[in-house]
Amino acid sequence: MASVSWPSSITAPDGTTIGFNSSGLLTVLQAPKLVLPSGISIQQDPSGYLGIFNSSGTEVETISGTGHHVFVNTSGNTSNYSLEIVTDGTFTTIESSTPNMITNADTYLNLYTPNQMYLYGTLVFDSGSITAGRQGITSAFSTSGSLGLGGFSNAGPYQIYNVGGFAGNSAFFAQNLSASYSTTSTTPVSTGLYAYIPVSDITVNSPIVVEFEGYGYNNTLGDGVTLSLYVSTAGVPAQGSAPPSTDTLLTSITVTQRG
Amino acid sequence: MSNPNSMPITYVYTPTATGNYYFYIAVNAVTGGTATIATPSSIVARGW
Repeated sequence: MASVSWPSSITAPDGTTIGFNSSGLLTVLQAPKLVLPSGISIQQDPSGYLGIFNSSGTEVETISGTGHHVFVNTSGNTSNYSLEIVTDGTFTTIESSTPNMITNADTYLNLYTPNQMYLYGTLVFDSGSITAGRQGITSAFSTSGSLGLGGFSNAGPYQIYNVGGFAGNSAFFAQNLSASYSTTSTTPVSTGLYAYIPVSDITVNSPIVVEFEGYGYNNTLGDGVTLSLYVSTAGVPAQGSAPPSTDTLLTSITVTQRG
Repeated sequence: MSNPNSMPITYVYTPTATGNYYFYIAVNAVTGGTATIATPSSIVARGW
């Protein structure tokens, strides 16, 4: 009698196991699965996780043991990665009639939840825009990195609309002289009038424009008055104090009193 | 009081190191008398 060699068991792609049991009987054990009329099935996958299979028997999504949804790359393209969350304009998808990507389920009229969504990569808006925030919070849109207008292939320039002001380390400073100040010193002393600009490693080597508009006089005709502009990284000397040697004289203007 | 003289100053400064930069105005008499910086006077700085 011819003999047939048979492995102890084999597992078909759909999870069905064919083999011999402990009594030597050939058994066919079909993995339990839910098959929808369209052929889509839900069953335990070979890794032991909940798998969603298309009608061709290919696993297209796995829900891992920790509840993570893993989408299988069914296109074979390893250069382009896309994860699309698309609404169809009804309330049956992401609970809104408008397209949304949210980090947790929203409640009524509370689409902007405080949970964070992390993106390690580039977010590209080909033809759309981004609208951030809701009223009543300090920072509607924040970034801990650079914020660019345009990309390397679209250098702009682009405009920033409705800028109300800059807070924090702003590169703008303006100040009025609060009251006239007089001295008999023939060497420079601080008037206390100053402007302050922070310089970071991004703005270093970029020009700072300093403009002074003001008036000076000497009460002795024929004598003169000199106003000098100094720069310091230590601070501003008190009014009436001489600039320290570590400060740098940038420029000065002198007039002789004529009347 | 002597007549005030307009004394504008414009300067472009390029910092070569990071830090906080203070630009301030000093005043002195040339050889004698009393020198005054008068109102209205103002200073503006614009950086990047």
